[in-house]
Amino acid sequence: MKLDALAQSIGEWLRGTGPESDIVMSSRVRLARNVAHYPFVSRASEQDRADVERFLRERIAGTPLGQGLEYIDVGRLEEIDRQFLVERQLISREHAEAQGARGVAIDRMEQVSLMINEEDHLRIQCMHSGLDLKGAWDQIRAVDDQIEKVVPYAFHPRYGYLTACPTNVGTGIRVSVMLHLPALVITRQIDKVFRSLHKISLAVRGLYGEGSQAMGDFYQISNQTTLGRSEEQLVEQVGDVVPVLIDYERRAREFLVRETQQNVHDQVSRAYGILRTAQTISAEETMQLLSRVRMGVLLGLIGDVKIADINSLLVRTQPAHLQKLRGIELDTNDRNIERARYLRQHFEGGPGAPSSVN
Amino acid sequence: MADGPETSPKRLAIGRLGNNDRVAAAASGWEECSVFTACYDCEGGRAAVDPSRRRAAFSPTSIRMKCQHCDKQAVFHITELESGAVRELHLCEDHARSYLNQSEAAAEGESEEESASKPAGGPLVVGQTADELALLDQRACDMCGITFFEFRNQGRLGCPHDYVQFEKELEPLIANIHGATEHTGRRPSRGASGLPEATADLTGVIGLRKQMKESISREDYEQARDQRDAIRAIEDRWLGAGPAGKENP
Repeated sequence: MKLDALAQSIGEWLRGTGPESDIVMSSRVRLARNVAHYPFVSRASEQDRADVERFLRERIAGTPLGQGLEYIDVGRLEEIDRQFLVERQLISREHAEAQGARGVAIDRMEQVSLMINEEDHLRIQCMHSGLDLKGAWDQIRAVDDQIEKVVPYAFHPRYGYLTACPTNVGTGIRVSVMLHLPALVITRQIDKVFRSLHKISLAVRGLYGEGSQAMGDFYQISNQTTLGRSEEQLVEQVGDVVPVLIDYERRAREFLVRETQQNVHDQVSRAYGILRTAQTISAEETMQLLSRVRMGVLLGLIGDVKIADINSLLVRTQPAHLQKLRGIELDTNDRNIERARYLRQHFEGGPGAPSSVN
Repeated sequence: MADGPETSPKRLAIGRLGNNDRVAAAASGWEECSVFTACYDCEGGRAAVDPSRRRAAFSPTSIRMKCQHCDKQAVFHITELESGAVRELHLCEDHARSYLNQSEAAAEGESEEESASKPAGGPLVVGQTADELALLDQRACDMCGITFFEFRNQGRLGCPHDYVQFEKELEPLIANIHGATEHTGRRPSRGASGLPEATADLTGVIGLRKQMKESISREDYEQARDQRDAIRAIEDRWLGAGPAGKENP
């Protein structure tokens, strides 16, 4: 697979379609699996890792599922290419930064990704645009069924699927939704929301998972426990809370428009102004401003921008994407200048024009 | 104080908990109460949380033990998390205050590089508590060789067999993390790996491989050959024909 070709598309999670996609960016389910006849990755020798990688790669390639997958040898990628896959959420940051034999198999839609030798031997991920946990779960279950036919998973009659970290044991499932919650942030209700989520055993994380900062008002909500409840129950647990959060965010947006329209209009217009005119800008600031503009568009305060364009800019202005699109490696300073130029060029194109990047 | 269901149980608050922290916390018997920067439930002087240094100090009402330095009751239970290692202290109010002040001062007086280059034993490092020593279990897994102590420090298990070998130690930890100890979800439907003995049998290969390596380094090739055959027999039984399982001793 040519990674450069991928850079031209925006991938599943930023497609900006699907139910409730004004607030729910994407729905994701992942399963942690290990083969029984090798040590877990952190205790595996270099040879073990290479054996596991080959075993899983070859076995998966032999399934009907495998026919539609592209395999990328992550261990051999340049740093910028690994970062690129992280930005597209096809591999985790840990997987990018790990050592030894490892890889990822991706389907053409970028919905399915199979990480080999992450924290566990196999991490199956399935991502759908918008709110569609059920669809993501149905798809991943079918993927898991196919792999299970050819791979002996480590399984314990009482503890279920065995994982390197006991926090994942049992179902090995992590169900998550990525939400854009700018109005809850502006109205300072977000902490209260997180507190109540935590009380019902849901975790809140930033854009790129564990340990990452919440950037641009994007948050991942996921289940915290994996044992004692069935996969369907856990999908439901996360799924049940999403409409409530959507409702909170909608009400906060309405409140902003009703009570502080001038302020909000000013904020989003300034954000838009900076994005269109800045000469140098960091990835973080870009993310923050795009988040505000995204809200402005959804509130009808900015008329000539499409949500799909904002979503696309969210990923294309990230460091590795920016460099891939330009075809050269840039240091931080040059990236900031290039990013600002890219944004200006994009917005100059007029209403909803696609970015004119070669 | 009555230990009714309403009293706050063991609690832990660390800024931005990662899986390592959660495991370390559970292994130490603490229950996390927030993934964010403050312990909301323990606010108001009952808990001191320092996310930047990954430390939590808190005083739950349900634990009774003596201060490590005097006979007073320990009311502060401090967990230090540094590069994945867990250190617990149980102190009375006075000793807790002087400990926290002292380590705070020590931290300010040192640059990052200095503290990083110092060997363990610097001013921030306090010896392991009796509790922790009691927990320090040097028993190793028969298959992968990891000790429970290593697991406690790293937060990651070594192989599937650890769940069998350390079941006694892991069960309370798993109960603490998940609030349950029984898997009720999907099971492998495929005949082979669905059977309980499949995993048991296959994890045996991990130990056999290790023994085979040892035989080779002893130049006991006959034994190495037997071990290789044993590995192949198990792999043939469970893995079926496939590109896997070719050992090269």
